Amino acid sequence: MKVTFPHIGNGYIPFNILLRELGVEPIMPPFVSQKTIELGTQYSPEFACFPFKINIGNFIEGMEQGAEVVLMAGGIGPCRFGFYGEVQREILAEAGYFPEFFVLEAPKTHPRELWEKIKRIFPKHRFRDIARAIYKAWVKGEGLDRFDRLANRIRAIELKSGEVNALQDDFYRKLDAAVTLREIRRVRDTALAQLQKIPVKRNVKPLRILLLGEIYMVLEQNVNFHLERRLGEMGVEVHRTIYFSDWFKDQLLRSIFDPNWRESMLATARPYLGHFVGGHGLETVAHAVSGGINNFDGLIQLAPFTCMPEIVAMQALPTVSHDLNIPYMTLIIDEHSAEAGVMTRIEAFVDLLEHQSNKKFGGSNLEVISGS
Amino acid sequence: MKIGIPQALLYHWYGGVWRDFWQACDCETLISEETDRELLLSGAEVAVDELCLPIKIFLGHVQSLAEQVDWVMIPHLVKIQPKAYLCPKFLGLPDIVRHTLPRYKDKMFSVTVDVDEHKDMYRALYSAAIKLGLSKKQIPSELPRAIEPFRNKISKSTGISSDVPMLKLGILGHPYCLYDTCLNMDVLHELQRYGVDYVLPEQCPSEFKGRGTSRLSKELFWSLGRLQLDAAEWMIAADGAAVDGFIDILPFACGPEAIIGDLLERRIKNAGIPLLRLYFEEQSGEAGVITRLEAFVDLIKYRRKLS
Repeated sequence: MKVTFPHIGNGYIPFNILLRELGVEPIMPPFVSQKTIELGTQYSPEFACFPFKINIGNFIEGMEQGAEVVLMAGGIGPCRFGFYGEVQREILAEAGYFPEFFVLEAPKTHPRELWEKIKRIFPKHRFRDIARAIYKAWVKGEGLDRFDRLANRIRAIELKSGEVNALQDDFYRKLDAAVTLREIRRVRDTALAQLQKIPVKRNVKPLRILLLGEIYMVLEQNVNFHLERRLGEMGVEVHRTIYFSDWFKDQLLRSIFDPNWRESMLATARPYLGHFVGGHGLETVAHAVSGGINNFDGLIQLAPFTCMPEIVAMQALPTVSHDLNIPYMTLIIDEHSAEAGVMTRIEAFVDLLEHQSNKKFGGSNLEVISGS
Repeated sequence: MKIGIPQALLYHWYGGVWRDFWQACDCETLISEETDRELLLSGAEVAVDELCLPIKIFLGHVQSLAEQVDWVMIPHLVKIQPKAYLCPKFLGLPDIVRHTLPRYKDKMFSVTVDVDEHKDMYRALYSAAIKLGLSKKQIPSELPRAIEPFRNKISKSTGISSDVPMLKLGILGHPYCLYDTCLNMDVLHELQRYGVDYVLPEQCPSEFKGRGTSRLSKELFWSLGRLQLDAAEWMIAADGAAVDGFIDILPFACGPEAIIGDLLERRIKNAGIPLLRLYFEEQSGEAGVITRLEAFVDLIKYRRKLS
């Protein structure tokens, strides 16, 4: 069986190994391009959120490469994401594609049905196989996040620009190709060691920006105009609030071992947003508050056009920004967004932050004081 | 104590209950006036652009009430039926109002309804009343049986003499879009002027409840979406309303409707029935809407003649 899946950031690397270990052939759709977006917009309802449209584009491009099954996640609302699969299936059928949807969620009728489906699609479905597949995917995913976290900090201060990016591309490629656990760990450790050896500027204090908002927009670099890299090249240290492995850890492990893990986040957000609003709305507000408390220089909220939870969060951000004295900017992205426009806004925002941070330190730049 | 109730959002379903409950508590109630253009614009002015028109209208109502009353009731409806939410903007409504109208934030109290958390409408109102400092004796022991405000509008619409076989349209949309005559430029009244009969989602008989949604392979988690799907099923069915055409009335960029609307559209198309979708935002002009409506009714009349 050939199985395709939607792109989300570097998630394709763990997905590929997961599917391969379960005995099916993973069909990775081409990276999100203008063509993907055009395909998606053509078939999707106009006001569906942007990730929905990109999914459709991914699925069609995946099926053109021969995929028969589509792997998708589900949910129980009230964010629209939970209903993506259902509508996407109908849309694809209308467009003349009839893939089988394998939606990862609690089934409507009986858990047995889900198991039957797993047995039918995945040839290797013994408990041991599944456990090993998940473990390998986990090691890859966690390694990616460890690398990215560090890369986002080093990129801001690297001496020769482009070194981190080159290493990152190389690491992604090698990690995707690694099959055995030993190989995966070796690739990861080498890359991390190389990353730390990249020569950096001393005595600079880069701006720190917290990237928050809707998970897809934050993770998918091909859609957010490689915001992390662009900001890094401007000398900004980017702290992303959402990492795939964190999300996985929270959703699966913590909900089992520490069912009240959401409480602390609720408490952080409560003065500004008192109720769960679906999606990442509450997280966005909680992260914004923590960004303010932890003295970040600025916040950038990313959201797809018409995203309901983020719109609610958007309403709270001006108050957070005012109370905690932290500048913020909201970037709404859809198929009409143009890179030049987005970058102009980002540059203006960074200029503003630099100006503010200079004022904080008595009007002159730290870099100048140190004489470097 | 004087309590203000904004005549917006699900007031059109629950307004009667809310008003009678507070009156039974010996509180004076003040219902905001029906939406007008000025109120709509005052709401749109304070909100972020991305919010949808019904929420902007709600903000307008809150502003119009706040100066005249001691408290403004903000309905915080999370789940009005098991396992189904309202839209995320309802979930965050008290905070949206608080952030957009900070000067009134001490005048507001919210009534949180979440049936999965054992907070039905009565308990929600009860605990809100306790928080407002009412004594237990003052609070009625059960919900008053009030008539929903929109029922008056339904009885006005149907039951027109049916000597000639009249055109019948199925109207789809959320209650705050259908019964707010300012939001929808009074299209329902306009239809009556053309001599067209119509049916509304709330008229869907109970035997059709769950019929539309059961065709989905997963449980739908929006209450208003469930209603639309069931109602459409009823309106299409031969033993139901069997309408000649559909009009879907919705706010610009409505989130849940982008998904539900797509499911609805496909079903209506498969049944071979025409559909007119009218989007409304604060910049919508009446002339454009009326022209489209007239053209649609003409089209349906023409179709009827052909068959």
